[in-house]
Amino acid sequence: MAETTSAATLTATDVTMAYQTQRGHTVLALDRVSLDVRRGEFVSLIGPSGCGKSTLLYILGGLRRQSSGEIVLDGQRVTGPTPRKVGFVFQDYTLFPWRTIISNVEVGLEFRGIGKRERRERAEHNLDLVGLGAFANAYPSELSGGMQQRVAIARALSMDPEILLMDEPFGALDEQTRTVLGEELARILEKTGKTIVFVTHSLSEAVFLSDRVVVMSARPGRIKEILTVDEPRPRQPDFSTSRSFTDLRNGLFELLHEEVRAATLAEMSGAGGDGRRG
Amino acid sequence: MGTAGVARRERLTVVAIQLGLAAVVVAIWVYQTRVGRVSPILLPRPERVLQEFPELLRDPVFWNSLRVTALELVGAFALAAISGLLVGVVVGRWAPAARVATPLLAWAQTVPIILFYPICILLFGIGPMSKVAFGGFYGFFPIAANTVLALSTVPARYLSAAAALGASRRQTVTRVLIPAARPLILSGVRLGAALCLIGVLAGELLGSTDGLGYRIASSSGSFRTPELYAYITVALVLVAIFNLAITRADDRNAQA
Repeated sequence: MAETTSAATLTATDVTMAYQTQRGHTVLALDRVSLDVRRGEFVSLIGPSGCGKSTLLYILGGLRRQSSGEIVLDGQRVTGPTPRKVGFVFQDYTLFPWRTIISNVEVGLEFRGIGKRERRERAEHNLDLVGLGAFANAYPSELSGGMQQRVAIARALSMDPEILLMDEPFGALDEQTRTVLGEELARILEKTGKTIVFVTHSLSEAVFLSDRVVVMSARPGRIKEILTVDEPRPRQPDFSTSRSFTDLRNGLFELLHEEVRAATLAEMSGAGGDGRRG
Repeated sequence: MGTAGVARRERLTVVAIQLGLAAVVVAIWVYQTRVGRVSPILLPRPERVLQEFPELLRDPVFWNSLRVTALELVGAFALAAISGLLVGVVVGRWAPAARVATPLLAWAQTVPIILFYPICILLFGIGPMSKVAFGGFYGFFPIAANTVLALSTVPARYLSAAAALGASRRQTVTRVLIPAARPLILSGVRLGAALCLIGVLAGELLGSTDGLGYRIASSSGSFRTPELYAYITVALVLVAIFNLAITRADDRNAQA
């Protein structure tokens, strides 16, 4: 188990995000959200659609600027992307289709100015880690969605960041693939010891992978409750059929249900803003 | 054998049918001129057209016309490509300008640009300059329009990924923006090149003192039909060579 008792690595303090819709309404996506992520910890963000959980992730990674509040990473204020410390895995993979798989994995190292030999070595290592070494010279379009997402994970890992921010990485995949990739991820993360913030829709995924699950309320996004999953890591597949897993999952369901209900009713009455993904 | 063999046989069949269709056209041509139903002034016998070629190849006038047209084409294409890419990059990288320019450029492509040719003649005279200007003007629109479209529609998620992976401004442009936009830009350049050639030949046909288009117009005007058909054939060969060259350049870039 990683030293989860150490000081927070990534801290959000009173983060608020408001934006204008095209029709001129102001939408409050996040309302004074404060969160500490500790070193080596796996934290999931879960909440109804449009609750701002992806927005929070983008703000944590410096890819989007909050309206007010502060993000601090290892004692330093975050004002933009910090590729040396924070890696990103996007929902829609975002591999570059004109590059081969290996060249996609090493692209961040290329941006950093690392020599061809070294970056190729590191890329190969990480591609092997996600089990896709055989596809180094293929193009992204030749791979399935699940495989592309593993490449995207290898790409993020090859930058050797301390923290990995993952935005519904398995959201576009079917249930079976999602489960297997979740187990794979648990295995990989145990080897690399990264700190993870993970946005998901899936209750099972959140419980299976996380040390803590952050439940967010319907828009405006606030932190409703934080659930702790006291199960040693690495998690084994039989954890997902255990009694404690089911209890945690049900507890999470109760917490989320009223929020999803509120969000859906708001959407149906047309008060849900412009329906942008949060 | 397997799928590769099947694919090859399919390709051969397609080529055979295409050659067959060409043979049918030639056969109808031969038959109609033999029977004498068509006046040789309107449609000369194929062998009569063939006989023109040795003469043509010895004729310095022919070589000069070919040279003039080729130079006008090179000039027009350079003009269209440089101005189209320049305008496209400036407009495409600036979202408000792209919103204003995109419908205008799309609309310009439906306008019969040939209407502006008389203005070109007024501005640049009857010589090669008016053909360069007109061909360049003709080819400008698809190149500019596709460049604007290509740059303004590069998915934002590629740019987010580049930012998260630590790309500098320059790296974002050279390693992400340009490769992402390249296929669409190149198809615009290809279309623009074809339009340059149309513009140059049309310009020569309508008012000029030299070039393949001028020879076609003058041999038609004096009923030298075998020569007319021979010049048209030469123009078609030029089109084929030019298009092949552009497509080749395109393919090579795609692999790089």
